[in-house]
Amino acid sequence: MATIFIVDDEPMLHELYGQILMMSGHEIVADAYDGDEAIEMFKRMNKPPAAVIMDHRMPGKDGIETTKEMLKINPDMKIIFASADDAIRGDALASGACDFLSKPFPIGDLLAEIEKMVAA
Amino acid sequence: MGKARILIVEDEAVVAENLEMAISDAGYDVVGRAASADDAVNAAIAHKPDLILMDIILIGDKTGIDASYEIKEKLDIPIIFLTAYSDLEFIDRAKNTEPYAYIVKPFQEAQLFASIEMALYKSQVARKLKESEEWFSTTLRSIGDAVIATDISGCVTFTNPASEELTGWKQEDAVGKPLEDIFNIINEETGEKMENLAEGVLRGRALELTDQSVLIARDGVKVPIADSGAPIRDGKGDIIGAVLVFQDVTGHRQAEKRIEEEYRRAEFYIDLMGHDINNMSQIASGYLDLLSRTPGLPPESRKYVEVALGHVRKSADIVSGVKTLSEIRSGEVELAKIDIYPAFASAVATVMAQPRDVEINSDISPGKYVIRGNTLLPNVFSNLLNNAVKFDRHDLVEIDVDISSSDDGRYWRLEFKDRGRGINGDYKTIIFNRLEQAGASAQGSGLGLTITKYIVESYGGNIRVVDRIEGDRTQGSNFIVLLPKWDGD
Repeated sequence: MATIFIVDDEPMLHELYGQILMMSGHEIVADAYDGDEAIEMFKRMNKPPAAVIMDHRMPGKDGIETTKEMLKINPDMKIIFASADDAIRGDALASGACDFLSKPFPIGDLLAEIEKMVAA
Repeated sequence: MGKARILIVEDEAVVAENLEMAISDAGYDVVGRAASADDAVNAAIAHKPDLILMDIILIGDKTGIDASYEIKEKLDIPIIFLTAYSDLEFIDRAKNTEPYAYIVKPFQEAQLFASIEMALYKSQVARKLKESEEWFSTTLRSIGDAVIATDISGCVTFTNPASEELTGWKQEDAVGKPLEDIFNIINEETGEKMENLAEGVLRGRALELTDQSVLIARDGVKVPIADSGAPIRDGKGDIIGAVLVFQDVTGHRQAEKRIEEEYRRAEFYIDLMGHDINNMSQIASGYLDLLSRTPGLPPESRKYVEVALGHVRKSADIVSGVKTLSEIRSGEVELAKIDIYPAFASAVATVMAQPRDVEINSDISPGKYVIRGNTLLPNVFSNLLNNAVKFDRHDLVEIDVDISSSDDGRYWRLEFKDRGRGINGDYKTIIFNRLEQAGASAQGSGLGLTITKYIVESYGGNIRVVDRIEGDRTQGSNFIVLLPKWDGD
């Protein structure tokens, strides 16, 4: 069981990730739809989530900037990129994300990532 | 030259008669005689002789010098003065008509003939020189390119009409001015003036302008130009000036900008569409994935879900293929030293991950086969191997991959031999040209071979397909790929 924070500007993906993760017994603790909102919510959290699922291309701050700011606040935060921009894979990992899923990915890959995180 | 034709202008009939006889005897053709200045001018115009022997004192008010002036204005005929007057005043006035000789009577015949021969020869040389000067000048004036020439000090000596039009400086105003005043060039991007253009050329350097050169005309109008310059050398090879040739490239630059804009727009569409399609594919494939995990889903329905899922994933492959194509086209991926083996091994791994029995026989080994390529190389091999698997219906898919040096030794030649259903004659070329042959591509929606061809060609190699066993396509295909060997360090 892990607590998950989803950051993506596409509402349907929040719904999908929610379904997948709940099905496997995880809990969605927060939903943000752009980078600034994500930072605000992250700052106000009493307890950090086990993992963040991070989109890249969003209005305002992009996923890489948001990741850098989150890691400044909490350097141990586990952030998994889920992005359709395969070209930014390297930059995302360099900014401190722990993994990169290239959309579209099989839901099994996301579950495996979360399991890996929980186990670690 | 045939017999030279000579006009005699002499007011004393006896002298004229003697002169004509002597000249005729010497082999010249006397075309006429005149005793007055006006008669001399008329005869010169009527006969256009090769040479005129001109006395100075003539019948009437006008002298031979007056006649010479008039003739010189209208015609280009060498004149030799024959006169009893050796006063400096006469000689001075005669000088201004640029005669070829001034002979004082009495003279010896030999002296006259020598002068005639000299004058004829010199005038012939002068005429040829003038003709060639005219020819060059007309050529320079007629060409569409603008031309400016300078002397050794960098001052303008010549501009042609095209240059006058572009710079706004007429030749008469430009001549004698420093080149920079007439040919005022700035860099379009930085706005910096480009200085001492002539100086560089005069030192023997070729003129190099950036493609952002802009000429500022006399009235301040800016004109983008393309330009070249070269030193002018004399017969001994010494630099005596510089010549600049330039053109208005407004239309060309605009076209270039338009192409660049269109290209960026296309990139933007590809990027936007690719991103959004991938997002939508994520939602669709995610829900199909969830559906397939539903307990108790009838097998028939599960199959439908699998097919749908497979095709959603394929749309992602197409997006990534199009992105790869645009990367290759834009030349973003630089060429470097690449070992074939790791690229081949990674492609083999992806093929082996498929739920098919596949046997790939190859003697490609590490470190031995190095080419000029880039990180897209694995795409070439995975596209070829995946196709081989896809179109082979045998229980066991067997693929041979042979590698050898090309006959000229410049390429590594790879042959991918499959036992698939083979490729029909016309399709042997069409399958590589999806973009050029959009209408003719009945063979599914794969971009794989087009991408493969683009990648291989971007390396300077090539790819083609033949029957594995010549003449029997049902025995499968042989894709022959030539990849340029690495020739650097």
